[in-house]
Amino acid sequence: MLSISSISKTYPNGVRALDDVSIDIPVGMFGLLGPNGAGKSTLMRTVATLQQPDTGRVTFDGIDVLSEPDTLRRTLGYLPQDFGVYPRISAEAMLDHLAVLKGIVSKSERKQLVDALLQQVNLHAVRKKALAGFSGGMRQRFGIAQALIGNPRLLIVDEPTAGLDPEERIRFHNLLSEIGEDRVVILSTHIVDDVADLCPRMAILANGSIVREGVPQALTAELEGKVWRKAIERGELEQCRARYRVISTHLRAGRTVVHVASDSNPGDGFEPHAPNLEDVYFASLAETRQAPAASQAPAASEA
Amino acid sequence: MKSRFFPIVRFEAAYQLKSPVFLVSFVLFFLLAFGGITSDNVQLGALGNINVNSPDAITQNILIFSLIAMFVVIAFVANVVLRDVESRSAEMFYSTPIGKFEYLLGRFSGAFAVSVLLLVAIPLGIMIGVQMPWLDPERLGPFALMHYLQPFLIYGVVNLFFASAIAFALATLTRSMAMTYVVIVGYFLLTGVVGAITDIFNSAEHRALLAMFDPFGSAAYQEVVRYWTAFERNEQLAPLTGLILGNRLAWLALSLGVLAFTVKRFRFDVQPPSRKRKGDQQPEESGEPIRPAPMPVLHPAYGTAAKWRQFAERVRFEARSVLFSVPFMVLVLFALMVTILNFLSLDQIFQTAVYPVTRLMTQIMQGTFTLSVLIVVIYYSAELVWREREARMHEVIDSTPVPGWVQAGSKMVAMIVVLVVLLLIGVVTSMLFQLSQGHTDLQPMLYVTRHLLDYGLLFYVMAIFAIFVQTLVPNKFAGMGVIVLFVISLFVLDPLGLEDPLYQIGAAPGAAYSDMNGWGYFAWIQSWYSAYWLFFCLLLFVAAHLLWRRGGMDSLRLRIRRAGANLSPGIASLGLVALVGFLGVGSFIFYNTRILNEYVTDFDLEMLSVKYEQRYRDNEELAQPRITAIDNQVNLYPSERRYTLQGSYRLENKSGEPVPSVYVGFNPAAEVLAVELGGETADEIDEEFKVYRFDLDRPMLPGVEMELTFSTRRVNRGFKHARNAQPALAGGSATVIGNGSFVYGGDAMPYIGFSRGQIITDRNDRRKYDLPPIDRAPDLNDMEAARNSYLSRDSDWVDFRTVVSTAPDQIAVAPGYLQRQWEDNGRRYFEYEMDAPMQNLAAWLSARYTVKTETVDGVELSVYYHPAHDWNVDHMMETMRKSLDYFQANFSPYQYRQMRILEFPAFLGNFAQSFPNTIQWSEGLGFVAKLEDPSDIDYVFYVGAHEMAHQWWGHQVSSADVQGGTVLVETLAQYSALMVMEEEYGPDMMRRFLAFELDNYLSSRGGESREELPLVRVENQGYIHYRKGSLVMYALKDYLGEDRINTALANLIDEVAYQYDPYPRSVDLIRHLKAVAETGDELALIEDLFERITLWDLAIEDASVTENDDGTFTVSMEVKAAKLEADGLGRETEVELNMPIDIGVFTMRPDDDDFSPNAVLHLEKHRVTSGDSTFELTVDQRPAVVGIDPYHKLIDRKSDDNVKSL
Repeated sequence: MLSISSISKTYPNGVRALDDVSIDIPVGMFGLLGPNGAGKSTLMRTVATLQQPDTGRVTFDGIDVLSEPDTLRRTLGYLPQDFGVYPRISAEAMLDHLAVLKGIVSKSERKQLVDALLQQVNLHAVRKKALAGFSGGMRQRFGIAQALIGNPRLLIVDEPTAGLDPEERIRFHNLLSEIGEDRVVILSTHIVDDVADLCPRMAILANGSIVREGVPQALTAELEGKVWRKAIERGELEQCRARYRVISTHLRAGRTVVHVASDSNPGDGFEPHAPNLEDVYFASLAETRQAPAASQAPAASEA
Repeated sequence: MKSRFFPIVRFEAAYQLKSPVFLVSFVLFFLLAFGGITSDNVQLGALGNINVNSPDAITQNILIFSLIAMFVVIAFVANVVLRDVESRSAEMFYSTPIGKFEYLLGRFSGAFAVSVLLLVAIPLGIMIGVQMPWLDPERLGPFALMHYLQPFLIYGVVNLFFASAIAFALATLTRSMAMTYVVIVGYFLLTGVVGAITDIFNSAEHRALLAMFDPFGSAAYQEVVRYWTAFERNEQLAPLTGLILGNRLAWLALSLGVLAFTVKRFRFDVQPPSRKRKGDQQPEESGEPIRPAPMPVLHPAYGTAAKWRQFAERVRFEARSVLFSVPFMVLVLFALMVTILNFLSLDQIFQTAVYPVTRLMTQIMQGTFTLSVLIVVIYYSAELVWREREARMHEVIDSTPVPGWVQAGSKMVAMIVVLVVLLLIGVVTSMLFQLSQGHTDLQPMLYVTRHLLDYGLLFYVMAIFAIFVQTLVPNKFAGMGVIVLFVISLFVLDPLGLEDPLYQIGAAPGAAYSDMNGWGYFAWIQSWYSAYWLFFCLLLFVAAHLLWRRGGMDSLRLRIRRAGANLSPGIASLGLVALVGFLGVGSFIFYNTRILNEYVTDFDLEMLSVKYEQRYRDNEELAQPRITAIDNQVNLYPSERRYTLQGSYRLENKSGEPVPSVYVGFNPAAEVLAVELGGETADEIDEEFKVYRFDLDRPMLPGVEMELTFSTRRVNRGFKHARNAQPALAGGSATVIGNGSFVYGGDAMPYIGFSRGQIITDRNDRRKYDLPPIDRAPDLNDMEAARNSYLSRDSDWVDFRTVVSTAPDQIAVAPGYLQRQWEDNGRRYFEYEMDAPMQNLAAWLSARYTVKTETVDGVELSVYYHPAHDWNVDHMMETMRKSLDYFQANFSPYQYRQMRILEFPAFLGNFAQSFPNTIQWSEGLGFVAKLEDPSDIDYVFYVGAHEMAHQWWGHQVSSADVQGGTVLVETLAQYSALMVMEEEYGPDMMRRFLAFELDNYLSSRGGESREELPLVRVENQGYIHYRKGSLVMYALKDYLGEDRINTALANLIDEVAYQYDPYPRSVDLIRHLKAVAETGDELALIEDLFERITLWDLAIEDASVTENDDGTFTVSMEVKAAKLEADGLGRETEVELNMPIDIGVFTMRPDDDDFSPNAVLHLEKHRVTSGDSTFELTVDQRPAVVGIDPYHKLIDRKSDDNVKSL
């Protein structure tokens, strides 16, 4: 459905935000995972017609996004990462206004639509309240509601769960999974669990390039038998890093647990670890970090 | 404890200093102060002889800017409290172990310190401004730090403290910035009302009372320096005593009280839930999203109709966001408040009411709405363009299928809608006010044309331009800066000589509305400029669409590169239409202003004057013949805005020496078709100044007569870039107009010799152009100059005959008696002839007049008026009748058999003037006066009597062109009018009138541009020959009696009526006055009043009363008296006082509304000498009030101590 090919973008300050990114995204939820600053938002904004790449091509369902942005916008829903609201406007009034802008000019259709959307995101009871007073979760649900106006076939959701508490996040996930059945939904996030929970397909973006792409389970399976872990003392970490390909470290009960990548058991007290998506993510990031100068495409194929 | 206080102050100050608000306001304040000092055109508190860095000018600047600063200070101080609440970090701060005192006062002090720092920009701007090399050194005083420091502390710091305390209290108590602003505006409303009330009772006591109520100390300062002369204003600071001290202490104490109260009331807690904003109430979460209702089947539309629907929706949405925002409402309130106050004090002179005709109402609103409208344009254009971005809503909006033109265009249109609503609010208010006054002729179309179209045009264009600018710039403060610069340019371009409205965005040449003429031709001119700017706005719209910022923060360069992608065929054709229209209309305007007409700027006009003077000044002393008879025919074509004139002069050589060459000059703007002297054409023609030199074959010998014939015309082709609505004498082209033409003889007919009216007289301007200094008038005793009349050098008394033709539905009037009138070839002709010599003052007026006529004692009195202005016509008739009666009975017979008042359009001037047997009287003066309140001064009567008196003083007694010349004309006309008024309205009304005259005289002295002169040597200084003249003549009448004064005046007329060569002088009047004086006191008084600048300082120091056994009362009063003589700059020296002065004993104060002659127990002149003296008087009833000169007949700068209650 959505085809991104060879997109590059360098900002005037010299930052190369996207470097020859190509990716094909089918119907369904698609997770775009990457650390802050990896270029996710640049990619999202480019697809959302808000930014022009230096080179490359984006098509969606036969629409050349870069040359006919308005055609794409008719079928686009976008929840930006940095999303606020006007002061003194109620949820209902704002949705109604946005519906007009999305081409729903019939008043009765708009009324039904706004009602249905507010029901769907469970904001109907507070539809007359000022958006500015909404909590973070309510605001994000409103964001989804506005993105769903006009039943878009392409939905872009940029970092939607940042700042939500666990309960709000679960509710938000439920909402997303419900929506993502019959359209392209791109979920851009730096939270691995978001993708693990929701997305049948995913890609990992680092330093402006796609470093992994595929079905989460398959990506995890690729690492099967290649991840080892060991609990060590804090002071041993440097030594450990020098000797092994450390992909992640975290604290557990006051001790440092390191995960290392190795095709065979490195011994030295390491025990096998059943890989999860987080390991896939960190392993990919570790590769790009360790070989910044080397071409990154081989790193992706190596996985 | 203290250790925590100062870090908080420092933190707060540092925080505020970093805010753009501080930086922007500091720069703005500095520039305003600097600009005010260094430019000739905007100057605060420094007029005439007052130095630009005088203590007075510095104080005035600090007063004004400390008031303006209030709006910024609120931002600083309220921010101190509200910042934590708004950023939701209140809990964080309130839960720290900071004491309330330290927290609040520390932050308050920080913000207050920053406010003080902001105001430093003003003295700094002045100090640096006065160093600029282009300043006129004569207008700079020496530097004195105290002149900056004292007003900065007394007014600046105290005012900022007051403003800070109030803002702090409001913000703390209301926890809302909007509420803080609203309450502040409410407060201004209140003081405004107090001000308006005090304005109505404008006396020294009321002003002093108001001065206490003014928290900024401005009223107190103005009251203290009200009568200060230039000398005092340049040398002295207003001392911190009396009214000023009282005011400052009172408001400082109040501010401290408010601060203490606020600290006491402040609680370290966040608002309880019930006080939270509506939206903060979160609903119960039910856990799961409910199963959605099925989505409706949608039929989205993307066609043109849908785009327009989106456009309309966007306009509605944007306009609503402004109209319902608190700052907008505050601005509306502010504009309405000022407007209503101005409506309530709708008067023109002497605080006498006028009818609220729509022309005046719209005129008032043009003044009162401008500030609010400008702020709306500057502030909201930025808000609208940047609000998506600031609300972080832009990516959502920008990813909807809405084209750029909807976004840019809807914001532009929304701004227009907002402005129209703002102006309409004014219109509705004004109409309601008119109805409340029982005025039902609302003229809604005039509101539309004048307020919404003519006045609004600039702001509409400015709004579109502002949105365009905001589209280009990378942030909104940069955009606002550009717009502020643009607003400043509105005031600066003209003085720089860049006058053409074609490149002044939103400008038009200025249209003039008159009830008589309607919009006339100006509607046509304005339409072209409106069309021009409409196309300009369309171009801006197209450009804004092409460059619209969508999504990211792409640089302007990038957007320009991509602009082509946004160029749809529709937009392209619109852009093309706009461009063609803009260029086409622009070319048409250019053709009118540059090709049909010569493009002449004010600067060009000044240069022309300089050149004229340099070329011809020598001719001033050249012997030339004088005009003795005028005969001409003037044809007025009102609908074509042109006239032609053919005429002849009889010239006679009265100079006593042979004249070899005669110079004949015309108004340089006139078209001269032919000019011949004695049948010969000119030997040399100066086309630039229209000066024709005739070298005579044989010199013209004394007594010889010659005939000069001339033919001239003025054709207004198309329109000019400026001055279309100004009278010809001001270099404009509004001479012949649709209804209400006014052609001056001096404009249409030639002068002989040199025309002094064409040279620059302003002393500062003359210095600028290196012209030699020039006297305002020749010395009083220059008998050579006394051979010239004060009116002109080229004529004495003349014979006059004219034929004037005009449109068939109009009446044309000129001096002289109507000999016959006829119609010929669809035009109406009038022939006027004067049967006795008259001053060379001719004017032709033509309009669709209604005429009211009556004949009294063989004199025909008429008023020619615009039929809608019939309110005061009968009263004008009565004025003429009563004036005629008094003047004929007391001075001399009226020399003519006819007197006519002629109305003319207000935009040609708000004045009345007396020509031979005609008075031209502006529709803006008196025709709409509302003379219902009997306590109002009847200025229609006053103006009428004054102008009538000129038929004697001016048209019987002329005056020499030397110092004191205007005494015989204006001072005596004032006296005559006073006498007619006193007869009609009684002495109480005179006292009220003279109180205005005294106040006007004393407060005008400080604005004198050279030096004040004694009346006998007055150099055409209005405040002396009118204002002081009234006071002097009325005082003299009081001492000598009306009969003796009138005898002296009758004798004067008897001696010098129609005299010329030499013309009568002020000393002739004084000679006749002295001749009727009977005592040395009276002679001395005449000298004090006329020959010196004399001031009295009379006061009752103390008074007591004792009841006597026989039931009478003895009053004892201690009087302090002094007589002062002032020099031209106002430096005073005490001189010996020894003269009789009124001492009065009353049962109530003479300025009491109920005061009547019954309240006078004793009023007689007693001899008073310099220093302290005691008077004892016995009266029959219990007295309540005593006074020395209680009716203020003598000129006393401090008149509130003349009367004392017992």
